[in-house]
Amino acid sequence: MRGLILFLMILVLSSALSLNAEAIAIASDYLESNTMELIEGDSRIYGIRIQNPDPADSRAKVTYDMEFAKAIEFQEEYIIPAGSSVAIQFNITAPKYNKKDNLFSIGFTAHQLTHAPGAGTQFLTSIHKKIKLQVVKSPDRLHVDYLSVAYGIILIVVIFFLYKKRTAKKRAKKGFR
Amino acid sequence: MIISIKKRDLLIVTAALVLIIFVPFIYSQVGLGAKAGVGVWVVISNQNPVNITINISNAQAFDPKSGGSQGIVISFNVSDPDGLGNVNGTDGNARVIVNFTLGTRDIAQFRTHTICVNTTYPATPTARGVVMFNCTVNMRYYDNNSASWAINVTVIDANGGSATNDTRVFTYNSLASFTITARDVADGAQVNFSGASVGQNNFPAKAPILLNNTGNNDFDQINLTGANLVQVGGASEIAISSFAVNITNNTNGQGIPLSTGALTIPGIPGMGGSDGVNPNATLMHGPGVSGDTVPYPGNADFKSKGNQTLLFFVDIPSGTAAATYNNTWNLTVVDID
Repeated sequence: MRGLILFLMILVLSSALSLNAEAIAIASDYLESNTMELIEGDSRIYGIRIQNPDPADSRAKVTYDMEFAKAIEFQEEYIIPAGSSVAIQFNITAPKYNKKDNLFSIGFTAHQLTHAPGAGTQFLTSIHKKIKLQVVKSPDRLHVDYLSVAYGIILIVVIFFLYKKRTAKKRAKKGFR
Repeated sequence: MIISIKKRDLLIVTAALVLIIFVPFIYSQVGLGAKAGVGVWVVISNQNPVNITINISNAQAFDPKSGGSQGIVISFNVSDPDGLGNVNGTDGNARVIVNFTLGTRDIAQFRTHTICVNTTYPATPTARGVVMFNCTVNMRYYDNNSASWAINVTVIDANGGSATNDTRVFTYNSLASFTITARDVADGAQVNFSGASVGQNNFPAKAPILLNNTGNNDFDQINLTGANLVQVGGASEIAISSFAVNITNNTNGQGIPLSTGALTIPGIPGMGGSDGVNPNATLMHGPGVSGDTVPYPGNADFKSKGNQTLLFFVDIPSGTAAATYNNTWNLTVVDID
């Protein structure tokens, strides 16, 4: 009987070791070409789900670029039940449109905070992912292209001077007569 | 052109014209030129199933399941003018086929249903009778993420008449996912240099570390941040720079030394990701070590992708105390784009 119990204990320990893989997973909303298109000033929700495929609960934390994204009901640490997932939503807001700088990158990382028990050098794993934010010009806003305005003013000034010159010549001719 | 006919000939001409008009009729009635044959009457008694209504909106999205299968249930209603028994299986060989497809024909990914169950709702004074089918299609973790997975439902009734609905699509979301484990040994997810002696160089770990991509994202970088190994129950350390990693099976070379900063593990020429131009070790998605018989061809060498081996080596400095050392290292996979 004692031998059988010992055998079963060894079997259980072996099974635990064979399941002893580190795993982390982030499911995220699909974006065409991994790019979110937003009109300047608009916001949209982008969701990720941290999955725990392991047979034991796990702890994870999420870090992200806060310039354009703000997590909703964000927690410093998430406990993910075994075989389950935890959803996190980000409110992404597009900045003001800038012709020269309208494509941005938003990164987020899920860090595993616990590793499977055992001796030896263990690994804590994390996944870093990026999405792109493409800012689109708002059709409702008047966009002033300062360079074009400057060119326009220069052109008007040149035309004005040419006109003045021509008028002065005409006057001079009339004066001779 | 003017044709003039004498009055006395008008009757004869009219009779001749009438005769000419009736020649085919007379010909057929008197049996001239008739050939012997068999008259065939075709009576179409079966009508195809109609009105396949798929109860799913185009906006519906599903997450892949890390390293596993995500069962997607497609619910649809079918009616048949020949009676619901003609499609619900009670009248014979009626069957349904539900396929998901993605991409162009030559490399299309596809999945077929594994199970279908149906419930019959007979007609009422206010509603037409329908058979409601619930079919489950298992999507695997490495199937591509896309908003263009097409749902193709075909219903074949008991008499072989069929109808198809392929008007719906769904979204299969992105999944960035991986596991890490010691390769070929039941050592969990740890690197083990047991048996190394003091002063020994290029000593390989007992087993390499195997990274499995258990999602449908590609990782363009594998970053490793090390730490000195600390003596268990003591104060001695083995510097992290004594350890090295590479992705080849070259036991004579240490690879690149580890550090306490994030180290991007290099690839080997021609074997990086992104068609060999990526200088970094990568972890592409694919069925790799899943053991699956993938039903579709996918892109070139897709079936061999899905895992990456990391080989570790150590130089044990002379003067190191004989003891057990350990610590925790951080491994990050990066999906840049």
